[in-house]
Amino acid sequence: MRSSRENGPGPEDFLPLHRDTFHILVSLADRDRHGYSILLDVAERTNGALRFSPSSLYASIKRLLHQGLIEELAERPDPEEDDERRRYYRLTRLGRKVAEVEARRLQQLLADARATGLLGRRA
Amino acid sequence: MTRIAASIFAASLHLYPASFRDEYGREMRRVLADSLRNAGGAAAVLVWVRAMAGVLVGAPREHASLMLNDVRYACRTLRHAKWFTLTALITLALGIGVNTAIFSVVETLLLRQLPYRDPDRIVMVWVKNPEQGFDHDITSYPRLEDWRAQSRTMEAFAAYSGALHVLTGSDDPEQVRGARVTADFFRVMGATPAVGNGFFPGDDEFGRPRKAVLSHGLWARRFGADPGILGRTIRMDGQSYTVVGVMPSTFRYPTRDTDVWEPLGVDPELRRQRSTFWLTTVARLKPGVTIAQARQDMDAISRRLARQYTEDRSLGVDLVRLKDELTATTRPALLVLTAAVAFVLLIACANVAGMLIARASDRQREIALRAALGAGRGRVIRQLLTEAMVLFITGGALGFALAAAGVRAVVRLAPPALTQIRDVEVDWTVALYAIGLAAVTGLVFGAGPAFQAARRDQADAIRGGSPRIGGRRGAARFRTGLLAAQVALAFVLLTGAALFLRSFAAMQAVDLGFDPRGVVAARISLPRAKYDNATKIVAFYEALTERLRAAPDVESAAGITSFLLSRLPNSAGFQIEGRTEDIITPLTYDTVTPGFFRTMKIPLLRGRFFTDADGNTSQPVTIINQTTAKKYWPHEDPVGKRIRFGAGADNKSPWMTIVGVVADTKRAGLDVPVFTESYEPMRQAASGRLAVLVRPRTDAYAGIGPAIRAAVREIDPQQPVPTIAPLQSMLDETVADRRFNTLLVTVFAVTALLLAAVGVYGLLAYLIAQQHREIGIRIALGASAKAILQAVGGRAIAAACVGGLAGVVLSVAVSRAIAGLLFGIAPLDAVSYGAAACVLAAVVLAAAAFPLRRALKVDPAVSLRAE
Repeated sequence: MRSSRENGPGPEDFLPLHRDTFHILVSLADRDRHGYSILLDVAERTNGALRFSPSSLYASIKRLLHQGLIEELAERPDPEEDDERRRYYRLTRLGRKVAEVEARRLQQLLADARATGLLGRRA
Repeated sequence: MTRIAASIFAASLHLYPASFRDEYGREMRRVLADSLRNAGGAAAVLVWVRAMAGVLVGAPREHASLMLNDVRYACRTLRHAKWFTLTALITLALGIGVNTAIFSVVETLLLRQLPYRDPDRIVMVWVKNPEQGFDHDITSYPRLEDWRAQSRTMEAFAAYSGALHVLTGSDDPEQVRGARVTADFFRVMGATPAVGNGFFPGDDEFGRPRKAVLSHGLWARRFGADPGILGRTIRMDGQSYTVVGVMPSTFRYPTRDTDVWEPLGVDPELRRQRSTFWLTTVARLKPGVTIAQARQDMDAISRRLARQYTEDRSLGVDLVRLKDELTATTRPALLVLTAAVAFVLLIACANVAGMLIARASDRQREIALRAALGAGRGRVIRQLLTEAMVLFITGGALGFALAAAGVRAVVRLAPPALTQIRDVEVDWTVALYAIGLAAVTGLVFGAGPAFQAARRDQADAIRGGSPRIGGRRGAARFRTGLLAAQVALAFVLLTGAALFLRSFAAMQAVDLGFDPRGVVAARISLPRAKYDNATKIVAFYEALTERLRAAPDVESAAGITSFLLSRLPNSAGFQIEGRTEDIITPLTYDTVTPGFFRTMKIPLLRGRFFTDADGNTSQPVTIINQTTAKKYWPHEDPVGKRIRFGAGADNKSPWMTIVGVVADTKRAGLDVPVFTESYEPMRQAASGRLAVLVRPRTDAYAGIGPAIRAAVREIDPQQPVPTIAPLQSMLDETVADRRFNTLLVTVFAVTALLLAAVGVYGLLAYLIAQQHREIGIRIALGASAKAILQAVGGRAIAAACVGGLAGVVLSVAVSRAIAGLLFGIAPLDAVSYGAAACVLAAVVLAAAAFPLRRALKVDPAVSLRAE
């Protein structure tokens, strides 16, 4: 760990993010979601390339909770349409920061690849 | 359909740790249900399969991560509890260490396969000779030929006979142990030379050119592992042998130190003699034949032979697997040692289990808090069990290190006679055993305390410090139970050690019948080629004994063919003049020089000793021992009677006149009945192989060895003098294994005793700490010291008594089982039992005294204020 104990881990300490982790964080960036909603969102954004199984989804959620990147909502966003048995998750400030830093890192990688002509100068 | 799929998935979630399942199980079921509904049809099947696969991969991962957490936590808490951890680790390292050490010996000596091809098919073929008192006798050449011709279950028979040679050449002359073997010996043994081809069929016929196969050791030692050794000529006993092979270093048969194998050239005379027993026989079973079938076959053959030959009329055959034959002498002792260390381990484990219980009750508040914070009972058990496992596995690793060091020390300390123990090594099998043992004992002995701790009433624990009177009865009962078991096991080990010690003492007290003090023995073997007649041999030994007797420090010197008798000494049946029946109980015969009996201080009971006048022209004479005299002349004086070796009316052996009767000696071993023995004078029965015995004038015999070498060199510079050793140390070697076993059992018993003492101390200290407040109240209320001691220590002492009684019952069973290993005392020897009981009682009371004294010093004011 690069950061000192008192400050806790900084966003860079989590990089690079595991693919599943990044997708979950992105999925939670615009709104709070329950597990199945995350699964659907990720599947949609990746055109079905990444489909979590319940096991892999909750293993990741457990880890993210433990790392403090996401948190469970005490109250549900829209009691009207929501099934009260579901548990909702939201990005923590740290989680949002981590996702941002990772996205920027990926952007830089992409820019580098473009600069060398690997992907063609104009996308 | 969907519902069944969902139920199977739900059931599979039980593969997860309970904590994970409780937290996410419902959500996971939800997600699956949604996914299935969304997918529909065939796609749903795919979704379900992927979900199930996810569980199979994910569940072990969650378990691993949880375990890692628990292990980390356990290490942290154990590091904080330094004394607890240290004591537990030392206890476990001892318990597991001694077990691992003994296992390494058992593995090497009993479990490991012999390094021969299909070793289970190799059997020893022994002659059962009940009338002569040998149940495993060797055989004669004609009988071997009959077995070969008639057996339908054996692939092949091989036979051998031991020999000593003097190897000469560029280096100093050296005495080497050889074996004369039939040509197919190596094939039967399932071994092939590492270099060369060995012997060919027909090599063992009489008069063939001499050939030799060398041991790996001799090849390396004497010939620098020269690969060009094949075809070279070596000289032994003045004869030339062509080297035709070198055996691999693993081949050490018939003895470990066999250095040369040569074909058994059987001369025409021996070929015919049915009653000359000189060959040890090994055979290889045909593939698929069981030893029982082979036994039946051989029994049928020996019944046929018994009808056919008078020499065979009382003989039978016994087959013993080679492996069993080689381990026969060590197996009983090793089993005893294995049992002993198992007991030590149980005591050690009981100690640690007791410590874990005490620790859990110290940490009750922490445990209760964790439970209250949502960790279920399962979670608490799991955590405590992990802690126990970390402790046991670390103890196991330490135990393995201890065993590795211990085995090295034991191998170094082991008496030279226990040659096999030198093969023992601590390898990965042993490491696996240590860790496996640690894991199993950790599970068994960690589970009790963990369940015990988790069962507590948590609300009660959080609420208050010390328990109410009579509280935590379960934990205390469990611990007193452990104490009783420890005392019982320690008692068994102590009686065992006492029995072995008393046996050993009884054996040392046996009257040998001769005086070994100060006597030095040298084995000399004159090469047959050089000393080819009796005159030369007699001249050599007479010159030698004369020279030695003239040496300044020497009181007397003499020789005998074999002073210490082996299991099968030189012996034969004989006839008594004037009696018709042949005596087939063998009479041992040894050649002695005239000064022998005086040198060994063996008393003459009747008649006279041999003199120089008993020569090859005078009448043949013999001296017998008292056992022989009593057996065959119970009411007469045997002196003047005549006997001759051999049987039958056409017996050509000369009659020998008995001129003396000497007292019995324990030449055959301290724990072996005295044979019927006879002696012949050197001048009438010359022998090139003699043990020269020299008694020094003073007790200092340091100069004797050099004096013997000098004397031999002066007479024949070519003659090697191999081993020179004090007779006492040779006698000690015959009981070396017994001494060693006794020592080990005693060490284990003392270890057990110390561990049990730690257990007693720990339990009482724990009980007193638990009842501190109760004791304070009682003292405040004016209870007497006696009442306090009764209240606090009564239960522990009662438990120790119950354990002691159980120990007696167990000991009786164990003593019966080891009766065969005892000597001179009864298995239920009262002295041994009494001594064990006294020692155990003294140690238990001493261990209890410290904590009990502390109980009496409890200050009621302090203990009540603490509340």
